[in-house]
Amino acid sequence: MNKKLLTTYTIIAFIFLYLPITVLIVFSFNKDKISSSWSGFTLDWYYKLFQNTDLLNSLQTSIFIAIFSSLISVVLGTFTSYALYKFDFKGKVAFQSLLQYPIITPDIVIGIGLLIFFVLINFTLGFFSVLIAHISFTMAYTTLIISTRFNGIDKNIEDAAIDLGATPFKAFRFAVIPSIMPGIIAAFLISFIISWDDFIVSFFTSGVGTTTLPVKVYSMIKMGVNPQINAISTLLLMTSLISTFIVIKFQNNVTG
Amino acid sequence: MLNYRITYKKLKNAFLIPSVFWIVTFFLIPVFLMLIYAFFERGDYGGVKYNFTLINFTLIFDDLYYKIILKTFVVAILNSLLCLLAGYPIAYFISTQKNQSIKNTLLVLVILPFLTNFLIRTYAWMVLLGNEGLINTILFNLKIIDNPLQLLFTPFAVQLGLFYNYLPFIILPLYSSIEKINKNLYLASNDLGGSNLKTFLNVTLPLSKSGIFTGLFLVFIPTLGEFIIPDILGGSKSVMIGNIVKDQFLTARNWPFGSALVFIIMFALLIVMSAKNIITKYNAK
Repeated sequence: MNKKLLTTYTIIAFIFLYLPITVLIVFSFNKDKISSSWSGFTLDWYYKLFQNTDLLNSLQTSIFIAIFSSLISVVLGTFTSYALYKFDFKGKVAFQSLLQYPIITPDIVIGIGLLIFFVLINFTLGFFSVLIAHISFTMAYTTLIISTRFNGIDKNIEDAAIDLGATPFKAFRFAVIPSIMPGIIAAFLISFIISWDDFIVSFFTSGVGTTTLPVKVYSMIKMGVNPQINAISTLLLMTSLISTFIVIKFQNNVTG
Repeated sequence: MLNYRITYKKLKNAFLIPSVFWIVTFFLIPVFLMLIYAFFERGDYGGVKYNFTLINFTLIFDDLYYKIILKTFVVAILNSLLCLLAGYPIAYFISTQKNQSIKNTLLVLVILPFLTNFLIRTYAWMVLLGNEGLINTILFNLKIIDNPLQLLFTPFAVQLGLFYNYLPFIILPLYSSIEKINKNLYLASNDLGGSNLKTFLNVTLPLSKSGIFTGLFLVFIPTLGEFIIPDILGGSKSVMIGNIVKDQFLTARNWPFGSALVFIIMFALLIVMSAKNIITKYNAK
């Protein structure tokens, strides 16, 4: 068709997608506090971040929650995917579709449902409620990713290992796990990114004492534009981008 | 061998029980609980009184609320259509690339912003649209305007923020359905005298229908439940269902009414999903 027109359009669309993020990053190095005129390079906003104890506490919370929720959901995901790959059981199809529901359900529904649930059973809102809440959706992603990997491996490797004298545990540990390892690592990283970025579910389930980084950033944003938010945003963006690049690089190494 | 098979059978439960327990306890029960709460009376200090009532659903038709609900649906539909219109050419462009590595790079470029924090992508627009923001500063310095334009905290800012955040959601399903079309069909259509436009309308568009539906679904549902974007970029005129829900749970403490509002979102999800399934089945015939 109009090849030139289509190319130009796509380039403009990509500029549109990247411009806001780029501006944010650039202005995190701007000396001027209020206006958007460039008045010189500074790292002040980053220094200030590292003196903000509230922020550092929420950073720590976010890191712990992202790591623990990813670890637990990778273990759950591996077990579930293995069971789905290996066995037939009653309600398998229903269970498989149930596993996908946390992905399509809007976050606000999960967040509020869990808030009601925790309050009803008198579970104190804080670190553990956020951790549990995160696992209930990261688990859906890890199962999906690891299951895909299971579908790609040879069904006979486990039997072959057993025929060669391995116990079922050894066969699982030394034949199955290594073949799905790339899936496990990808699942861990993607789960990490999703938990790290989550705001809505944490917002409803975190209570007063515990704040994750996005919840903290949200309360800062409500106060208006501030270069410190630009700086923390840049760091958050970088973490997500670096994790993403690791996933891509890793997948390429495996497939290529 | 046989002994091991028996061990496996016992193992099956050990592998399944943790995740079944988790998803039932921490996903299924909470969501159902919330739907049940919609039929209870509100408690005095938050929480509920366990008396059956339909008052939360009649409250929805209150002047104050039904307008917001209606507007949310309009905004969500508009956003889905805008994303479709803007995203289709991009998806089409990527699928026509002959070089596989260019194709992959472009796809990664589409996915990347989608993997960064939603909150931050929205905040970035505050930096651009504010009275002292980049757009106003540039226009002022170019002497196009004397006073800053009110861009932030308007319905326009909300619609823009929604469009920006959800555009990548629609490009991926569109791409995967356009990519699957047999390229020889384009040649066949051209050989038979079809113009490029006719080929597009009669070949590409109908064959990418499933991607269009999936994409619209992926934009429409989360937009319906959105509250961050109107909260950050919108003013008092840009309130959406999600904002009322948030208020009912965190400030007004009318949990049953908040639950009834979420009921609407879940109901819309159910309707759109069944519609999508029916269309998919119909197309498969």
